[in-house]
Amino acid sequence: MSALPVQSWPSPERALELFARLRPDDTVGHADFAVAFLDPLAEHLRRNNTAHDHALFEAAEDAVISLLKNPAAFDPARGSLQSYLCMSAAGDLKNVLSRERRHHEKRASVELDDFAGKEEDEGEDLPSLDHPTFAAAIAEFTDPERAALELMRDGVRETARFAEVLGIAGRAPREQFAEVKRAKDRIKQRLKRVAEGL
Amino acid sequence: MSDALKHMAERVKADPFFLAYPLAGYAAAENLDDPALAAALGVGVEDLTRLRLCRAPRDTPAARRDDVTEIAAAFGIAPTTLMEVLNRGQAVARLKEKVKTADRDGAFLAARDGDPPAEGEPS
Repeated sequence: MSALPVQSWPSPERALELFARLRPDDTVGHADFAVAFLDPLAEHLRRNNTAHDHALFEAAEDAVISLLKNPAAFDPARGSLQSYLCMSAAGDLKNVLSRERRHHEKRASVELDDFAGKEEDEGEDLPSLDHPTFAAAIAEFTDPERAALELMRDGVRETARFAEVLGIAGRAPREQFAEVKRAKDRIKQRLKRVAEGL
Repeated sequence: MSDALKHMAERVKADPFFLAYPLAGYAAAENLDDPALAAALGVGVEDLTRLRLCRAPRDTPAARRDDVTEIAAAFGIAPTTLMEVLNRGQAVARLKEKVKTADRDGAFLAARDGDPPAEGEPS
């Protein structure tokens, strides 16, 4: 979470002013709304949950983005905007966490298959990454490498998704393909070296 | 800007609802990092997060002109510069989407690569 001072919620009057600007013809109003609400919402989630920052951010973003796209979902007559966003984000956090839980279960199953020596037609050949040594090694990765690793662990296969997180989406498809493969091989090699040292 | 806002601005680069989408298309086409993109627009790097979180301009020409003018005024960008950046960025981002879809379907690479040579045939 940011080291910046925690931003407080807008007053109810200010909140309604910002909400009233969520019209198609007020493009900047959408940014102002997000800037005003995202931080206090993420902080609210953090105070009330033990989830990690990524999940908290995702949930707070889901709630804000959803309202930006569909402001009619909030009825000012039925309560405050702050309460609405908190409730919406709490639901989104549950969804984010259950999505992550499913991914972990799938990952654990793939890892088990790998160690059992089965054919690995599906998923990437990754050792179990629960060990703290792996966490330390992964912390040394660059942001794009970490994002690529997450995709690999999620079982993503599309080159375009990797190209996006590696920042090479603007290159020719053949170049993307080659560079993505190199990046994935590099990540696997580094993790395998760590695994061998355990 | 906070980490949460930067995270959201990064995430919405793939969402055509937000201005981040055409800006990402433009940056990719011109191979610009954030400081270079900010310089091309004539804003500070710290302004990019809020700029990316603006709603993308509407599609009809008159509304688009109004929206671009509003954004340009709010961020001190020359309207013609912003319009050029967004037009090019949107075209590139849409093209990327098409390539991505084709790539996902396997059609694009298959069409480019053709069949691998059979054993014994020169490649």
